[in-house]
Amino acid sequence: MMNRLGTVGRSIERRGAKEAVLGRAVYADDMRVDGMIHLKVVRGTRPHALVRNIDTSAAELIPGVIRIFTARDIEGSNRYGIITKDQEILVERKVRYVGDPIALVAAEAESTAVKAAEAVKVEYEDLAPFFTIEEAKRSGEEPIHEGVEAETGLGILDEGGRIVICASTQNPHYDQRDVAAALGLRPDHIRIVQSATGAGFGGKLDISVQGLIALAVQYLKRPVKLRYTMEETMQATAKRHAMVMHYKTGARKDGRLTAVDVRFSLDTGAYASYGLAVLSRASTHAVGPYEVPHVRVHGEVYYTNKIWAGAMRGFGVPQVSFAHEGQMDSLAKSLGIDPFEIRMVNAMRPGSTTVTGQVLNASVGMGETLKGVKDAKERREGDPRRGHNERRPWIKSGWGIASFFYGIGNTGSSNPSTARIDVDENGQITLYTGAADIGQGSDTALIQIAAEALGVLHTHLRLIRGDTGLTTDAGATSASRQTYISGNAVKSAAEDLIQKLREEASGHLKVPLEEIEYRRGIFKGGGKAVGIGELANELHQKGHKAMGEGRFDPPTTTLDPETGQGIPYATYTFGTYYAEVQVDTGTGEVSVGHVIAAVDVGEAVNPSNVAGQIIGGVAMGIGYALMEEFEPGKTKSLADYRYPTSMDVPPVEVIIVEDPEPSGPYGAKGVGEPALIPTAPAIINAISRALDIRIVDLPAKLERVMETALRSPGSGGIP
Amino acid sequence: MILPEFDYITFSSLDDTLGFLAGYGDESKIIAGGTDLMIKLGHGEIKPHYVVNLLDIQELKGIQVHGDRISIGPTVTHTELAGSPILRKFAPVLSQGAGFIGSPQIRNQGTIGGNIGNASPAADTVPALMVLNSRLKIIKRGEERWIPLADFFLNPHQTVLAGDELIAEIEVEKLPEHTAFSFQRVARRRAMDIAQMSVAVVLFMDEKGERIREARIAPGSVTPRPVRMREAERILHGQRASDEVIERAAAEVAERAIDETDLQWLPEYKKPALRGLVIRAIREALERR
Repeated sequence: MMNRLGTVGRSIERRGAKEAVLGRAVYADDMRVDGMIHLKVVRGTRPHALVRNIDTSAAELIPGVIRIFTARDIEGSNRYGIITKDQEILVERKVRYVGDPIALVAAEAESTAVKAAEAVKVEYEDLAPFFTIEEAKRSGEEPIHEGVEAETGLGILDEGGRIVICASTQNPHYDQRDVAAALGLRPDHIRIVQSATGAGFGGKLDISVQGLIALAVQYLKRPVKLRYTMEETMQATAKRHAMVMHYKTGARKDGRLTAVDVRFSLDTGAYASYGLAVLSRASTHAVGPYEVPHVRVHGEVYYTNKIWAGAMRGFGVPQVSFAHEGQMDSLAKSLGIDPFEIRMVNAMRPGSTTVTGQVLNASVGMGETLKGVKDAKERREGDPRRGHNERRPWIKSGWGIASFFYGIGNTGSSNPSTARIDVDENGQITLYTGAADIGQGSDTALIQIAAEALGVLHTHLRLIRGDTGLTTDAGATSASRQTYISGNAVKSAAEDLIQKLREEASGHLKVPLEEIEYRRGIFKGGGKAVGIGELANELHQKGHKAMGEGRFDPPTTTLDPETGQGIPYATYTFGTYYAEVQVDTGTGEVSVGHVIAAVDVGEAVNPSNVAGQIIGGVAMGIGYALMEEFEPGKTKSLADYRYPTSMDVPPVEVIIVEDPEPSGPYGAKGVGEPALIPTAPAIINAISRALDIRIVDLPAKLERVMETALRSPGSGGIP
Repeated sequence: MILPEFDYITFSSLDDTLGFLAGYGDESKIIAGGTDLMIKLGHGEIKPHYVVNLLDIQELKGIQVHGDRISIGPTVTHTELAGSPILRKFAPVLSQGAGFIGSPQIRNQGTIGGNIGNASPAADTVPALMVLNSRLKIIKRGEERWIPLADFFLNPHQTVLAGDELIAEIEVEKLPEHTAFSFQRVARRRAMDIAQMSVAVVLFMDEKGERIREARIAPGSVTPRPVRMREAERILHGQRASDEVIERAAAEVAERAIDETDLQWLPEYKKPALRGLVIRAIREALERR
């Protein structure tokens, strides 16, 4: 490409990394305001019950209690929900899971708020609860067809009477709309400012503290703070959907897939949240990155009386990829074909048609990732350092691979992003984006894209982000969409700025517009030159502002409700992971020894950030594969919910494949969720190979692996 | 974390501490590293009037050799246990067990006295102490008594320690150098996790190094109170360490643990897994001799 500085493609230091490592990042909980009121939520203790009476009289007598809110205090719809507005800020009539918010205590001190919340008496009339998809099916209710900072926020009333909420969120502009509607306020009466956000992974797409904080500020007109304890986060924020999946796969003797028939059910818990969107994404990804001529997918979503399920990194695809990759290995074994070979034979390539009838024309690096992993594996096998475990016959070793693809952006719906870049009278260039950086690095990637498009050094750019008062809507930080979609919006804002300044330069230099050349911050024409700063200053003198605006909405079509056909995503990320495991057949312990991870990201805007996302995805995938399990009612805190520590994560060999996406900013796609997806299937395939028997449930925890090892042919579990 | 209100009491003198406990012991909780106590306070499980700190008391620190015994102060941290040259030489099974606890931060903070006093069936130092024939010195104002470690525990999180008493010393056997040992542990992840099962093994071999003269086996996290597996130990006594003998002893440990246990067990997992773990421990001990 002409005129490129090469800022895109360089591993510049991630913005915010140093502050996070040094403990200087300002999270919402670090913010204090004089006279701040503390809030505490009173939560339901029944899985399914009518709320007969809420008695706050004893609690109100506790000194220091300011007010106790219930649903009656809410003037708006009291309803929110990312797709279906079925959740209440405070419940009106019915609790649907243990933890539903019933009342909100405001007090001068947090300890008083906690004490008062315990003193609120709630009378229930219990209803029959249903906890599983099977119970929900029998109940006759219609199925609907469809890290690590606890949620915290601070709210104040500004001089203009606007409620300002600083909160940990992935979705500031959505929060603004939903909070306003639920409380009966105009959106411009609410300003959401994203504070430093420690882990999101989908859980901070739904609103949590925001509506409650706004309610308290609306009435009390004083600063308030609400912070969930980690136990509350466990109890009352969205989880990944549990899925039950049935796959039937047909293939020819040479391994070519002929047909796949899929039936699955999702458990969305007490509320719909993203359930319908997860269903459609799981459906479009049900057969994985393979060409399959005949596909049938039937999916259902059920409500149950458990904590609701919502967005969680991968959005249904980690679940289906566990199934389709297990099928690929089973098929390979039955047909006597190598796992690499069977995937290569079926892999999508340019010209392939997806299950929705979309023809993929470019940036289909699937084969390249398989080849990259295979080569790296072979190099590794030549490595003499790899030891064998003759002294420990009860240790079984195995390797496994898994491939995936992932559509970037929301499924078959408009999901635009907008961006703005301006230059002040001193020549300072500022990028304004509503995109929430939740640690994934969008701040850095978007600055790199803006710097590249403007041809200026990234260090010359200032960034304002995630503030509904200052930035325009970039949509949610979800669907691995910010680099691709907001990146394009930023790039077009930069181009718009250059175009507007070009016109200004034409007047300034007295040279016709078409003769003006722009390069690295300087406009040239007729042997003369003028810089961005000078032009911006001139515009300011005239009472104008040097500003560029950009918008991008990926070209997609709505899926046909009958046939599911259409173009759900503009582009896809592809990848293949390899994992080596050692299984202790005597105790059920599994250790992951090595991972090779190849992902086609189109273009790595920041290679070390891409590698960071991939290694983080592997770490999370190890948890998904081996240990992470949330059992409603039983899993109460992080003491009962184990996720991997650095001791559980092996070396990860990262292979970045770059098959550029023509519609992406400098060819980029996305890597956020993709990085997680193939980890668990690769590990499970490795365990299944080690034990010569397939594991079909997640996680492969001690008991499950032990039980499988005992059934394993030839092993018996004990040497 | 919001803690309930209490008075924090700290003395540098053991006598003053015992004097305070003689008056207010029943309303007090003792704190050393606080890795267990702080969680119970934070969850409101306990609401003491006084929290009595032991960390400033010099007499409760340190590791010393006294003839064929080693004396360990109750406020010795897990990091100190894991790194102590004395223990690594003469009681390495305890160093190894302590090294499995939590994370470096928790090992820097938590103490051996706290690990014993908390009386969790999953305490990692306890199986190691059991195979070292440990005993405890319990003191109160004007009185002291010695009891075998196993007699200290009544039930999970219940001990014989009265409100006015303290663990003043832990005494363990000093093993001959190069005694075969192993501490094995199973958890759901490799750090920051409570043991699902553990086992400490010490094997004394005959002069030729062929037969097992004496075996000591103590599992952790599988029985409500710590126990030595005497029958399994007898199976190994005087035997050459064949696969058959090792497997028989391991199976006996698993059987016996079921008899000893409460309802928290998942026998379909823990029985075969404990057997597997004991085999691993005996084999590793034999490799180390």
